Amino acid sequence: MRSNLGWIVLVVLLAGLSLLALAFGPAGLTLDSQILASRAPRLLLTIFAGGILALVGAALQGLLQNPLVDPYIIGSSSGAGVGVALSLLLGWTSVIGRPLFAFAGAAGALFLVYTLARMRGRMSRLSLILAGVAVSFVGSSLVMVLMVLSREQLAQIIYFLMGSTKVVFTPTKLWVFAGSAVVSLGAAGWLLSRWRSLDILSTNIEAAESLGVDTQKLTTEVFVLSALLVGVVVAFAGAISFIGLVVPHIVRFIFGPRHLKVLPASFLAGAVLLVASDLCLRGFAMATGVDLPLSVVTTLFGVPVFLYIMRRRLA
Amino acid sequence: MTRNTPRNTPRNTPRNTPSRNTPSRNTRNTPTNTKSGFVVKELCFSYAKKTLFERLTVSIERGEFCSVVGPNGAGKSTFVKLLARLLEPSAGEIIFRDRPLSFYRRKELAQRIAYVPQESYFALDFTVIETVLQGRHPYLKPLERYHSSDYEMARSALDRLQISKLAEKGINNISSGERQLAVIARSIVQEPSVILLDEPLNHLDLFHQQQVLTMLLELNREGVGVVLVAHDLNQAALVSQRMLVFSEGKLVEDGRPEALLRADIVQRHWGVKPLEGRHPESGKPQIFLPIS
Repeated sequence: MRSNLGWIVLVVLLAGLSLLALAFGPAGLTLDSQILASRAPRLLLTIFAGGILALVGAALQGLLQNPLVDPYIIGSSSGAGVGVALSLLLGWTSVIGRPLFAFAGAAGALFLVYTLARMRGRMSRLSLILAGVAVSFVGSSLVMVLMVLSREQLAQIIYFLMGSTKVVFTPTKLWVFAGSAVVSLGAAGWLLSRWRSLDILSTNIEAAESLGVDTQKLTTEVFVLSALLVGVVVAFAGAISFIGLVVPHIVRFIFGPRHLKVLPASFLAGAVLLVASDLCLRGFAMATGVDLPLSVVTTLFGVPVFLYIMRRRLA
Repeated sequence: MTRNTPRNTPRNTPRNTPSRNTPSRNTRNTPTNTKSGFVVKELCFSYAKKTLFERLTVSIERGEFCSVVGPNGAGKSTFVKLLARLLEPSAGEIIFRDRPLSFYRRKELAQRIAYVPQESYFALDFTVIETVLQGRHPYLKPLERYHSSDYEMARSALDRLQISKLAEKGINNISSGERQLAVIARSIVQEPSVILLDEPLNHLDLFHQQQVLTMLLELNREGVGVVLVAHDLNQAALVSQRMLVFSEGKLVEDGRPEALLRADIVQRHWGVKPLEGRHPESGKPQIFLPIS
């Protein structure tokens, strides 16, 4: 009952907020084809980024059995950050140059984490977390170095690293984004097809294997797909924090722990949250003339929820 | 859940009772026995700094109720984990139903072998019925949802263990004993041909110990093989047809419980000399620790 109501609320909220995001602008609430054409890509990117980050967060929390895991723990966002900083340093900031650099950085980090996490041909969940954290730190250091080297672009790099869906979409970039989004939704569908294995993984590894879950294969699949998905999101929208950490907890509270519901509901809830955050930013920009990055709002929302969850767990 | 082809095969041949110096007993029943459930051949296994099994050879027949006993650190749990392919041997092989264990896909194996660990933890708070339903995973395709027949099977397993009232409770909101019963119910809905249980009675009260042992006997009568790791020799002797005694990674005794539950054998491997007696109902041998 609660979960049926939850689906309805999420769909209605997403539809309502999307309409508002399309209509809301300096001239009040207006909708015409020209405005739609300019605002729709931003809305789609916001829905995509919020949805994918939350879905990946839920899948990784299920895989790593750690409620405090967020999509950035596997290092790919850090790799994407290095890619972006490098593209700015080299001046290759064409419409698709930056996303390509970001994605290449994410893929490089993925390869590094995968190589480091495999010991004796096996990849354990703990080694994955450790390798992810290590690569993230190395990535952050490299970004620092690149920021120092390209001081003029410092603000741009920082802004990118805190996430924004205020992206200028040229037709080429729009096609690249559309293609990436379709492939990403396919990858998200693949993750969803592993829902029962992720459920079972919440018990001992040995028990999960004896129930027919190939934990090695599952770990590799979820890790590679998650890293690629995060890479795509970061490439277009930067590193938006807290969505992937907090949304799955809210969703489990309403829908229960089964990943068959948690994964798609996280997608919807993540999209709702990011569209709402983006609306807040747009309102703030109109009132003050200052463009804030998305992570400011998502963190302001995420920290109290995060603390609430921690307190509940410790109680 | 019923099986139409009872395959209970009580062992009629008396077993020898070798001493520690005569491990040659291990070669009994070796290879090419097509009736065999498990055939373990020249198995070697080591942990990082400790060699546990060295060229262990033993077989367990289909439908056999076999208990695995021995002092702490003897290798009992490792042995059943190797049978469940949860650990990989460093040398040698295990044949299950005439095929090497390594040839089975995970799901294929899960349709045939169920494993109940000593303790279970759950990171997410599924209900008991959801936990039991997971036992149907080996039979379902990736996106396939549980069918009503799966729910029926899960409920009937809960009934069998008399824990139906827990069905909608959170798996982390029940006692550890009840959780163990839910895990045993999950192993039943796997419809395996063999259940491997690693000290499953640890957290159970007397009522549920009796419940589980009776259910294992029933399953065995229906043709399901049972390999039970146990510390309680009396319970093992009451329910099993065969007892494997491990000590320091070696199979040191292999025989009928009636022949093995003797004070001298217990003293040899456990270092305590118990008093001997008989179970008043079944007449099976029992031992008692003299404590004064």
